[in-house]
Amino acid sequence: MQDYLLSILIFLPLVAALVITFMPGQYAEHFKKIALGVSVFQTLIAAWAYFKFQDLAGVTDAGTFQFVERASWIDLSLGSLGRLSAEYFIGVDGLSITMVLLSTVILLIAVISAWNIQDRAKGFFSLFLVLNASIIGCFIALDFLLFYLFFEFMLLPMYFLIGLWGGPRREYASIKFFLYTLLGSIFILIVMIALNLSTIDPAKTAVELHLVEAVENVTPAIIVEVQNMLSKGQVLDNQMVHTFNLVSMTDAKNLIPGSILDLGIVKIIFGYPARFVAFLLIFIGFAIKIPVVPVHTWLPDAHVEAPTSISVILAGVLLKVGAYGLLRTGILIFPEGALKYAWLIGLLGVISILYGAMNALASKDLKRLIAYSSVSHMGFVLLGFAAITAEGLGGSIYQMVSHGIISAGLFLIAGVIYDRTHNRMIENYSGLAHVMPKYTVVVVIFFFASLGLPGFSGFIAEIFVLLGAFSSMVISKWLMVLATFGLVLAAGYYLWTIQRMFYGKLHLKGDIDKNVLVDMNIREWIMFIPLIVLAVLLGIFPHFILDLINASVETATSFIFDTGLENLKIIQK
Amino acid sequence: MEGLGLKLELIMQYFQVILPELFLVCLLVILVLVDLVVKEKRGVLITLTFVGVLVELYLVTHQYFDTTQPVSGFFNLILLNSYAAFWKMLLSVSTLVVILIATINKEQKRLAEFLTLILTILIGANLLIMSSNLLMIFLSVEVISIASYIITTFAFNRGSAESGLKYLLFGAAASAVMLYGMSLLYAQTLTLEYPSQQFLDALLEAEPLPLIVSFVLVLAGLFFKIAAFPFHIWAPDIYTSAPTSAVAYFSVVPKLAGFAILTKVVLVFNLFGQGPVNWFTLLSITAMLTLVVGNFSAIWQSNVKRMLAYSSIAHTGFLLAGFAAFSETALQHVLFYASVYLTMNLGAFLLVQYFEVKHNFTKVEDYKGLINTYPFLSIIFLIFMISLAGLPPTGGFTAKYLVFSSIWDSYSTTGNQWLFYLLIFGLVNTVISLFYYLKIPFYMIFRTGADSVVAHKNNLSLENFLGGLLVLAILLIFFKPDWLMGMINSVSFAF
Repeated sequence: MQDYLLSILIFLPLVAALVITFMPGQYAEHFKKIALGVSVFQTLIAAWAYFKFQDLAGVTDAGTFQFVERASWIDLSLGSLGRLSAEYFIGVDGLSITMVLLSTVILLIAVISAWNIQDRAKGFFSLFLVLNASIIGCFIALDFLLFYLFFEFMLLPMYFLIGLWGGPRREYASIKFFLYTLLGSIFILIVMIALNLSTIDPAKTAVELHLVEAVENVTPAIIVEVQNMLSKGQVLDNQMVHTFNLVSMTDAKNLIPGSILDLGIVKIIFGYPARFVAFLLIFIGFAIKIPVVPVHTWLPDAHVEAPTSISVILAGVLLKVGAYGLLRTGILIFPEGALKYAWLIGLLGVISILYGAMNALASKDLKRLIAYSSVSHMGFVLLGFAAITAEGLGGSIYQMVSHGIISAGLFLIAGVIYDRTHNRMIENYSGLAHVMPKYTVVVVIFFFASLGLPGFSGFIAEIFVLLGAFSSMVISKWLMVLATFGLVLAAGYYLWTIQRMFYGKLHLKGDIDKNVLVDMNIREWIMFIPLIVLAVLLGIFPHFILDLINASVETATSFIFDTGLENLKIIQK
Repeated sequence: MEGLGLKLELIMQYFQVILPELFLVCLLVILVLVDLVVKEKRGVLITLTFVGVLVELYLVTHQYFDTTQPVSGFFNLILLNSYAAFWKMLLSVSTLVVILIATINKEQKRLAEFLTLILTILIGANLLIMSSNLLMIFLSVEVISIASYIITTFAFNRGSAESGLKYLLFGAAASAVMLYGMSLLYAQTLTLEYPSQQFLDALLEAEPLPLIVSFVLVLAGLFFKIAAFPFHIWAPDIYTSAPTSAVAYFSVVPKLAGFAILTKVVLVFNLFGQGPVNWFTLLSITAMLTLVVGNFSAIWQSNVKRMLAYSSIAHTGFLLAGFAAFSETALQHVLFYASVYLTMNLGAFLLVQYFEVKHNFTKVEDYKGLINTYPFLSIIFLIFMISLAGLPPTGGFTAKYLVFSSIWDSYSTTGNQWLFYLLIFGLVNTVISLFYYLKIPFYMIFRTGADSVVAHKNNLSLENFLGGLLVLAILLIFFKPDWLMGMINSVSFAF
């Protein structure tokens, strides 16, 4: 089973989705149980993977990825262009294992929060499971085409889940979400095509060159030989095997001399070297997904309209797909772009932190406030990326996990109140602490966790990011100083919200009946308790995550910094 | 006498080249006779045509595998190579699907004539693809056109008659322009056999200006056939009022045949890069404009068939864009694109025809809430639309991917700026096209309404089966493009 661990993670929900689709309507009450079963099973598998996982690097070394599965998928002959090869290549390293763990937990919580969905349950849960599969697929794909397939395929279930089960302006929100993200993925597509045209798979090319009989027999020496032949122009066009392999793409020796993204012979597009343009395109593409100010405007709309369980997934996991994609396909493949534009990434990160926080401060809708706080917190992830230090990158990944857990909790909080009153306006509530004391406790815990109180995971993550940004050699220290204001603003909007909604005398506006304000039920506790435990656990014992990611983060940082500098010198020469 | 015998033998040899077309002619005569003799003829006619085209597909496939060297026939009027044979295979497959689409409409009047005209168009298209003489091009285009004019009126209502006449007027003008261009070319080269050495030599010595004028005139005629900007204006009107099965046919068969011959003609006109004008730049610009006009017009349409008309114009743009990359790989990718295009486009028209016949749906709004009554058909409609828009996991994505990658590749080798703009245009248009491709699924799934629509409870129906088959093909092309590409790889482009 260990050999197919990750495949099970992807295909189990897909099979379950098919089963639900073909089950007759009278079994409607069982659909959610199937979805729950799948999620529980996935979480168990992920937990097992967590204990089996060894602290190996991965990142640029295909040999140290774990739970790897590789099979040939597409192998096209393109005549004079050589061959095009895409693989079913999945595996995890420190950067992705944390994301897989996070996804399975958040998806499990999301199923529980969707427990009361009665309306068109069949459609909901089959789309939900498809979404589940494509999210996990994104995190474990090591082939760009496979990644892109999952990345794009996330859009459709999300579009329908928001558009069919969402709030009053759901159609507008779902279309906006779809078009924004699709525009982003078009930018990614451009770069993917260029990368594919510019990169070869040395192992498969060796077979084409008749250096070895089969891919299995390729030794490191042969790979070096192929790369040497390539750099001397001894590999003919029709012998090249163009690849989508994300690991091969990180090695500049696999670039075809004279191709569009070649380092040596720099191609100029719009006055900039092609590799810089490619990096910026991929950055824009993922920035929409993360989202970064100024392309964040789809997020508040989507969140406000989406049903609670979908908001949980959107904030908890989907935004991380953007950040993870930027790291895996942008920064690691174009380290020189990451160095050159570190200031831009850092600056946009800080702008997101501050602008998101200020918008949150001005929001009247509780869910919109939480959505903007997400924009703000994802800004820290960007700042950590821009620092290019081990602390910064580690902090970014820690922040992704931490924000995944906390924001899921925050959206559940908004869901709890919305389920009871169908009203999310902050101004309509006051003195809730008197009628819903348990709820108030949960809200306070999550608000404090989110504003970065020591003892919660958010604190560790943000401290790491700020430390990393401060010790960074590539970005200005001012960015870090500005980012700390984000923490102050976060304290501002959270504390003010607590004051407005929970303190004082009980007073309700907007036709809210006092009697519907019952305190939390068992199902809600089941959702909140694991999240609280995780947030506290990761706040006190950071090594649970750090042990997983250490080797990968060290390798990635030194790779980005050293290779980036080297490549910059070559390009600017 | 001996000379005549030799000639007869030669002609018999030539018959091998046009065996599928000869077979179609015989089939056509039989159809007319059956129509006269048999009483209960609907089933007989359809079966006969379907089986006939199936046999023709078999013959063409045979030609495809047997033709390793180009074979010319009838004193170089036609030339058969595996490139032409592959296109012919695509056309035959499309015809088979269209015949099935046509059978959904049980009320189609004058079915025998309808089927004969479909076959006539197929014959014309096959001959057009194989033409290696300007006159032959003209004749084949006319065979296609005249049959198309008539078939446009086969809805037998006012709109249909009007658009038939419109089509005739537009078409006649376009043909006249093309013929004039051809005559100018003849005046300059003294030959009509365009891939010949004499033609090429004469072109190299000719004055640039008259040459350019005559090329543009010839291209205008071909652009009209494939509905490329600025000769696309006929398409929306005709598509709206002609019978849907005929529209499905127009959107694929004449278009692809016209495109096939366009590729051949432009390759010659470009004089392998030595001519005064780089025709591929012109093609890039035309492709961009066709894309933009097709997509932006489609956004505003509320009539489904009109929307699909503009969508097919946009797809012409993509085909042209792929061809403008101008390399052997690019041509292969165009063949790939064409194969995917016919599958998804016919799939969409199948469903449009079904809902038009069963429920009189013409507008996008009519489709509202259909997911509740027709869950299966709604889902496959969604998949066709996703594929037309070019999103994974469908063949439409793979096809677009390949087209874009050949443009990228050409750009990085030639450095022609237009190709870069073309790439950007194509990608941006993919996003724009999503606006209208998602419109129908949007109404089907998001809007509730039309409770009056009662589903025909029959799971084993033709539309379910054929739709499922086409969807399967589209998904298969995405997950295993190797099979289709493997076939295309063995196409030889020599002529």
